[in-house]
Amino acid sequence: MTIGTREQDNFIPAEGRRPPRRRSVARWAALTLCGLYAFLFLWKIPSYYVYLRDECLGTACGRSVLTPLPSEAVASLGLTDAAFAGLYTGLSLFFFSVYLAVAVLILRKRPKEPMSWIAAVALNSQHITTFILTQWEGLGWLASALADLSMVAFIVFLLLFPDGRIVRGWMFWTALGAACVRNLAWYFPEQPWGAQRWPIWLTLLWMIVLYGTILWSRIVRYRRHADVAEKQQTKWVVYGLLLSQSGIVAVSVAPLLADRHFYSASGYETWKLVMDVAVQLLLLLIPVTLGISMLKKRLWDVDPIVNRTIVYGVLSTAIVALYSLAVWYLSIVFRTGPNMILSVLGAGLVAFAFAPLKARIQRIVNRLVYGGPSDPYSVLEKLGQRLKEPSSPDEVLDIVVRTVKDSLRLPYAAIRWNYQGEWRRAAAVGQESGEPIGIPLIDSGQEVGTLLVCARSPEEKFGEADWKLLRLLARQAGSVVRSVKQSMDIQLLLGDLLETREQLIFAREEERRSMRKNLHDDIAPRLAALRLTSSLAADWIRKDPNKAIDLLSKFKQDIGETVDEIRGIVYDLRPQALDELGLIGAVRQRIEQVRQLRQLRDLEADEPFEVELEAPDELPILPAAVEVGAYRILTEALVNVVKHARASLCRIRISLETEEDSGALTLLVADNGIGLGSREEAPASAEESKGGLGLFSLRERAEELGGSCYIGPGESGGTRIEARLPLRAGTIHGRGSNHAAYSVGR
Amino acid sequence: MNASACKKGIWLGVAFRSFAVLFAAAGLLMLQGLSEGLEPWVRSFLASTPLEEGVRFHAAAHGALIGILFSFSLLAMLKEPLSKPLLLNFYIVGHLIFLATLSATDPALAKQSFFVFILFTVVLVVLYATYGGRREIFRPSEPKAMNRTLLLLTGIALLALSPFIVRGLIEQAGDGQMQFRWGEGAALGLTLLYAGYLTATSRTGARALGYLQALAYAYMGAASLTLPDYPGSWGLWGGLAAIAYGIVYGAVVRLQLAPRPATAAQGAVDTRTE
Repeated sequence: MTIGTREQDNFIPAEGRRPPRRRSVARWAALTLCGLYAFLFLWKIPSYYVYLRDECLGTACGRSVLTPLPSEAVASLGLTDAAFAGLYTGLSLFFFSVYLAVAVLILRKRPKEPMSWIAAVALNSQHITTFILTQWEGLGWLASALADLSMVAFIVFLLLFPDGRIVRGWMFWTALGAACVRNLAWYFPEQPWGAQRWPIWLTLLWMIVLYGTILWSRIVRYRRHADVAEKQQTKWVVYGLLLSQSGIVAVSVAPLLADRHFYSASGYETWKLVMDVAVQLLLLLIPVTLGISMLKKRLWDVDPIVNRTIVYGVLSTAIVALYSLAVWYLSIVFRTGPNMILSVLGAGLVAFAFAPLKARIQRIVNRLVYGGPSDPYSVLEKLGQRLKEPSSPDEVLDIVVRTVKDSLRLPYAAIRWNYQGEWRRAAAVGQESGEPIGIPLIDSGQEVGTLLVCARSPEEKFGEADWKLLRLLARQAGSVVRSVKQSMDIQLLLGDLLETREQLIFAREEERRSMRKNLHDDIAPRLAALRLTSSLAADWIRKDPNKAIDLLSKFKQDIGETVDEIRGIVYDLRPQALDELGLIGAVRQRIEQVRQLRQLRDLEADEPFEVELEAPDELPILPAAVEVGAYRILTEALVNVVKHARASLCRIRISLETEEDSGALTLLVADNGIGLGSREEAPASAEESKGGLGLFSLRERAEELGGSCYIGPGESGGTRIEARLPLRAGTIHGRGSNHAAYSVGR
Repeated sequence: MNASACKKGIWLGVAFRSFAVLFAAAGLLMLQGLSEGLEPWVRSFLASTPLEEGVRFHAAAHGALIGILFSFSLLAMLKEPLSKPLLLNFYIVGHLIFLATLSATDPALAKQSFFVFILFTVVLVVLYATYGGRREIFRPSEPKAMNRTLLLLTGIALLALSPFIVRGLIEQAGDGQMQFRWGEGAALGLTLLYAGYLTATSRTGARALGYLQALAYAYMGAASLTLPDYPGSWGLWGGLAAIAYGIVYGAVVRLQLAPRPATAAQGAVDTRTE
């Protein structure tokens, strides 16, 4: 809300801005006035009861607040004098207590807000001014002043509600001045400017000035100065006022349809009393809606209530009119008076027209309350303009759903998509009311998500224009969602790429460090020792040739060991067998080594062990990293089986999956040993691995190459390790087609 | 199109036009479409015996039906008859409505007036036989494009005419004077409604039929204003409303049923003739 214009003023400043003493005085003045009004009402209730009981039935009963019933009517209703007086007094007390209850609630819940004080005075006094004027005639001008004060309080309330600020100074003072002038003029009936002597045009002018200013002030406040909550507050009060006034008009006009002389004719006193009560009940809508608007911090949205009220009000009127018209027309067509058949035909017509009529009225009222459906082209243009602004992917989706919600005046709109295999709402605005309707978002023939929307009200369905706009927006939203999805995929890939790059650098540095360590800690001392041995041998050649020969023998042995050491380091980098024999040959060699080792240890007799290798005759030239990774996985798994599995059979299978533009090398090592115990899955880390199986390193090797590795129980017991190493397009060439079984240890 | 077919088409056209003129003249003169049509303003025009005072408005209805709607529709077909099968459809069905109303409301009179049935049958058969595009009369190849405004106006006419139609049927059923006056008013209403439906289809010829309707409504309105309290009259307000309706209907027909391009119409004729 804009504050600070010259005309805008704080009639009732916020708490803390007015000196506490003045606030306190104003508050106590309001409370005193409320108390005074209540006191004056309650004090006279007993005498009012006595008056009604003892005097009213026999006289004109001028001091009765409600239309007095004649004694015949009272007798016909079977009421005694006391019951009659009790009924009238009870009704007055009931209406008073409702107004008082709302006023007390407002004062209790918002005790420090000056608007509460004004509202309490206006509410408490409005209903009982007539009572005070009729029952406190002895007070003379004071009773009139209290009534006028009540009116002024109500006008001030209308001018300042809901925030207590003056939006246009001249309007406020004009309305207040007009009210005061007229009220003051009433106190001087004998003077030429007394209100009783005002000509009709002046009275009309006064009414136009007063009510026009109040109305204009309200419009200005609503359109230019009210925020969302204040607009809702205003709507509640206006809703209550309009509903009560329309009801009063309807109640007042309805009897005239039955008898044009209803108000002047006698014999309708009972009905007039009923009307009086109905009017008072309708007036209760004002304090109730006013109380709601002031007490509820988070107001219920009044629009659906207004919408429903108008729809059903208009629908009821239309149905009555349609029925009457149909019966009248049919009576003209068939030249008969109203009869049962025509009534049935009329009712049938109404039943037939009810549903389409309701739908049409609902659409019209929706357009009035929520605004008409926006022009599709302007909506798309607005969406395009909004999307031009630089935004993050999340913000872009937010813009789309917000545009959908705003352009169709929906309570809720969202976009749901499948991202990373999970359905979730990527963006949502508003609050769900009922089950959302899903509209598929399709782009390039693929469903990229769903647009979820809730109807304006649970009973309302979307019209053709709504669907047209929704479909149009969904088409655009599909493109946006795909772009956002691609953008997020690229970001994710970038993240993965950075992570992989870091890992590569880390691995390279680790390898360098390991090599340096090997060279520094192992090879270098050995070479230094060789140099020393060679020097000693040179010295001893002259002194003691035999000793020199011994030294040279040792020297030769050291050189051999050093060469073996260097070979070991080279093997760690890339097993030599791979270069010499290929992957399958190297694996075969390893299996043979295992067999020989077991034979040397003489284990074959006690613990028979058999290894079956199933592999193609030859493999294509594989990437070095894949080849090494596969070899390591297979040999390490085999060693684990030999060391820990207590198995009698180990099956190794190497196969090649080929697809149109990619493929994978699949490795399987399965045994019939003791298995991994009760664990269903492989351990997450090496530390958790049972017996130091190093299963973690198998998985890590596979994942390093972009593949996967399953480690778990086999179908018929034992352990099953299955790794899948992807091969990029173009790497599979010259592969062998014939698979052959190779058996070891038979 | 070969020469003999072309020649046959020309002869059919000539024959149809001749019969159309003949039947239109018969409707206006022999069946007193003209003289009864003028009855509200000119008493007993071209009549040997004056009409009863009480049937003057009924005479106007007769004039509207026989004179304006039936005879004028035949005259409207003199120019390019093959492009207006809708009018012949209206003419034939209108007569059938007339005869059906007569049979339904006054069987005794229908029996007595059997020659009317024969006469009308001959007229309709002759016109049907000499029309070059017979197939187009009841099974038109041109698709209908319902004009909502004209259909709505016809709906309004239905609501407004229904009381008069029902009254006409009831009065005719109870009429013992052996005159088809009230029933003719009802037949006029039904024929006007059928004409309204045909016009709303927007087929070729709808424009001419629309103008005829507008003229008939305006004429009936003027007759009602002249004879507001006569039996069968639509009354003062009904007359005003009918004139207003006729003007609005004519304006809508003029604005919404644009004349077809001559070449297209001619093309359609040629196709049918072949």
